[in-house]
Amino acid sequence: MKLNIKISESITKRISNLTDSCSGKLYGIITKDNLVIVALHVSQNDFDLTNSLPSGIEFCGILSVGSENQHHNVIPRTVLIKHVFGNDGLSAFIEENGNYKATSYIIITEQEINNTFLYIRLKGEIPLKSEFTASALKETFQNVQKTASLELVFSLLKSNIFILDNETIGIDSDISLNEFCEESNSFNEEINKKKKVINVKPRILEFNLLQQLTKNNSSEVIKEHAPIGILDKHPFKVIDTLLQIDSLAVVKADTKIQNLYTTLLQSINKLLKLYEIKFLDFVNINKLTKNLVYEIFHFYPEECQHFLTFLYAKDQSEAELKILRLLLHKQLLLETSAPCFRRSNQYMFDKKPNGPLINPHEGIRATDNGGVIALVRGKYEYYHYCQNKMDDNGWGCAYRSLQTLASWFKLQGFVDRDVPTFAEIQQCLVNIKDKPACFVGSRQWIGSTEVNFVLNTLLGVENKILYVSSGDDMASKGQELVSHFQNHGSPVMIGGGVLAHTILGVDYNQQTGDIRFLILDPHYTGGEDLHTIQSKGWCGWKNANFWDKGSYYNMCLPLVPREV
Amino acid sequence: MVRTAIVDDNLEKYLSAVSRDNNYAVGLILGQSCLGKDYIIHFAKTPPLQTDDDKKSGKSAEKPKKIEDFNNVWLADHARQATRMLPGGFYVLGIFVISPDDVLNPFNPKIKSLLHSVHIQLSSNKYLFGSPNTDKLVLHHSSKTQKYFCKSYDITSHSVQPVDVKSQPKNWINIHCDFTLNKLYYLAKHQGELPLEKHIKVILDELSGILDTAVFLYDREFRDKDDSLETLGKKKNRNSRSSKNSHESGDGQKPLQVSIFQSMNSNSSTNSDVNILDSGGRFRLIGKVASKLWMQPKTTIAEASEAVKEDILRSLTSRLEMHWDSLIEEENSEDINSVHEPPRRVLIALPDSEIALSDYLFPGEGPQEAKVSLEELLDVKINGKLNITDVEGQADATDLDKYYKGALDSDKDDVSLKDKPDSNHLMYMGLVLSLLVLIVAVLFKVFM
Repeated sequence: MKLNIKISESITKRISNLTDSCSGKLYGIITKDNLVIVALHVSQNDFDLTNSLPSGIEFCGILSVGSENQHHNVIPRTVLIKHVFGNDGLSAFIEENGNYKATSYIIITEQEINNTFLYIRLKGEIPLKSEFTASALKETFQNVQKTASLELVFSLLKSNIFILDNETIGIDSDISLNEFCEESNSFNEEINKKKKVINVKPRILEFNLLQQLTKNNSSEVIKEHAPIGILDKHPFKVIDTLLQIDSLAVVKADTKIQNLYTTLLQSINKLLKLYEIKFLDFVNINKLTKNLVYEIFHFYPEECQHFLTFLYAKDQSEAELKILRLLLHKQLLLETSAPCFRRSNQYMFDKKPNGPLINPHEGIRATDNGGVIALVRGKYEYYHYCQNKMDDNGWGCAYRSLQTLASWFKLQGFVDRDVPTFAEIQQCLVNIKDKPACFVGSRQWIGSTEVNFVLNTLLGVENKILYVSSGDDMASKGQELVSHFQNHGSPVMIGGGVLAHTILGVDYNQQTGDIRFLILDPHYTGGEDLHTIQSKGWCGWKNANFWDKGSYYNMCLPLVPREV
Repeated sequence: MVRTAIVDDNLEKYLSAVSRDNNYAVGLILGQSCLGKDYIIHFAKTPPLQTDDDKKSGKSAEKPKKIEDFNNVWLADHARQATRMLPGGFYVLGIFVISPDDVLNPFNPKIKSLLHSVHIQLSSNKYLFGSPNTDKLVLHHSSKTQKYFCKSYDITSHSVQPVDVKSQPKNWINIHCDFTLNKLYYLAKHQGELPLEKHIKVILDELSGILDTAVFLYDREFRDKDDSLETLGKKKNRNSRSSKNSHESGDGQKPLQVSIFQSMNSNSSTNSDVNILDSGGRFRLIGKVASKLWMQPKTTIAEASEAVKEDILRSLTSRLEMHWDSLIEEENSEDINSVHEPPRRVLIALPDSEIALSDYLFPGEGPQEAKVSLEELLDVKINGKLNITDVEGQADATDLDKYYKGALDSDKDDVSLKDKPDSNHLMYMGLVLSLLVLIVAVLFKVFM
């Protein structure tokens, strides 16, 4: 049967920017007659990405970028994707009788991928008890994997559906996942949407881990006996811990429930492999420490459009991990101007039910100014009046704008700090002696200067301050704003008179001198309703008349470090 | 609603028989409570108090001549040992008293103190689940009139309530569960010298916690906790789409199979950061606990699951207690590697009943020993060979060899087997030990 090859748009985008030749590995999802290539990894050494990818995304071929006549070892049942400098696009080859034969391919978007497949997140814990030597650890990990396949049970979160090897409980085994999801409305995003929404974001089903403590009648007869105790009084150095399990698998949305077990088990095995590698490294270094706690982080970098899972040691700082991150950026062909793999970049699985909206400007009506459009890059949260049951109507707008700016730095991974609360903002201004002690708990408003102080003190962010003496002069700052959004991409706080706003972007027409501002208005007092916010103009494009001729304005432009 | 105790002809006959032979006697009421009814399965007369010296000199035990002659400690220990033999869901519900004169009107203070002693003894080990409530039955059978009356006495509120006694046949739903145990436990360095018993306590605590949060399935199906056992067969047919094995379970012939799934999501983010430690050794408890329970059809799923949990822990703690009692001091805290083989569970059918009770046999013991304990603890005399069901099986040489390789290969020579070849007398061990306790207690009383 002919294999249809589909290549993720994210891969072609990254390869087309390359100027140096390189080679690497490709990872994809193989279904009956389709191969969807979703991940690439440019690496010369042995470092293997397989275990960091969700189970279901497996090694499928090699990538070659450079001149026409590079030599490739032919690996059975794989594909070869080539990009030759000077040629447009990629060419695809598939292994046939020991040679790579040219074949066709199509490019597939993130939206198509996420409509075809869905992710399963499996959470739980597995005890690990082992003598703390390399050989004992290896053996223990093998045993854990072996017993896992005999004893583990997966249950769909908040349901009484259990999936075992060769058995499903509480659900028909030949029902497919999407049938089931439609019935039970398992994806939070789809709740209370009137029209059918097309998924762009990955859809995620959450499963929990259980272990069978009783013997199933059908399981093969293992000789059993009454409990006995074996005491071994030798002193050992041991590790006795619970390994946190939080693994991902990707499956086709029409997969039958009964076929999930192996993929889910495989996702645990990948994670166990990541643990094993870390633990063995640790034994070999023989570091004198009592801490061996790793935390699991899932990332979904915009440029990759697939998940990646890494373990970071709890006591390892972001600075210590920088070399590793830089390596990852290079091997995955990602920009090195903004971090993707800091802890704070981790994928947000659970949206807070009434938390602030993320990027409410997306999907807004376009401008008609015909100029250079430069927008905020990445994600921010929309902070506005009366959130968290706090009535700051009339005085809190600059605080809210400040919070929006701070959220951008957090969501981009530049800072690991939570968005500062009103109390923290006020206390900070008292601490730096900008305000008297009675300022804490007061309802006094703040301006761009204070925003600058607080961002600098609490987040370590440097800011540029722009000043205009009248709202009429705002257009004169067009070029500077364009270059801010192009080079830094962070949201801008603007204060004038008694009002504060957030600027998310500009549309600046150099010929006409006309300018439009994409404004996020913190004075909104309603609930987190995207439709209202967009249609009533709480987030939208405004022309220069938006600004008051009689007021002067200060803008606080947060500068963004270029680092990973 | 007045509490009702359900008996049957055999139980009534037993009481009459005991009261023919004894002017005064006391014994245990064994049974199960469900929806305000007490389903009595057995009466077990407490054997007369016999000291070691009496036994040696061949002097037969003296029968009590008045109600004050009943010995509290002796009765309480009988209750403890009888509880060990009960499947989960069954308890010592109270006591029966045989005397010529009424002891319930007015309520005799001696009975209060007997019940109090029984409750205290049964509550001393929480994993025995001996005394789940404080309201105890007292059945008085007059050796003069051959009539009986029943009351309940609450040992905390001291309230005495009437209890109806009805004679009617009982139905049971049989539940099976084979629980697999495989726990590895590291001894911290400074704890290496503690007796093993202390370490086991930690394992039991862990197991109890696991069972509290586990999912219990009945015939591989999830059930609402408020469903009653008798509805399981009916509901199943409606839901046949998801049921693979559509065998008839409504007729009560086939036992319900319970599966237990441990939740692997403790969400204990607080789990200690210190996870590499210097251990003084390790202890592995491995094997299966076979549970067979009989429950009233109206029992809810939640109650049945609790009974299964109690059965597993009661069975484990019973056999381990018996094991520790059989060890001499230095064996318990010794410094060498060893294999501990606690007695294994066997089932003995209660005469004229579908219900089987448990006994625990050390390696080398057989039906003969089980017969003795049946007679001593349950006052059941069997003529001829006793049928016992070996539900768990004894670990054999290949098993042990496998574990040596797995766990002890570091030093094979140190291994000593802790099964007692001369354990024939162990059946009496419990009683002998309690006798010592009794003597001490009596002396204590005398000299106070």
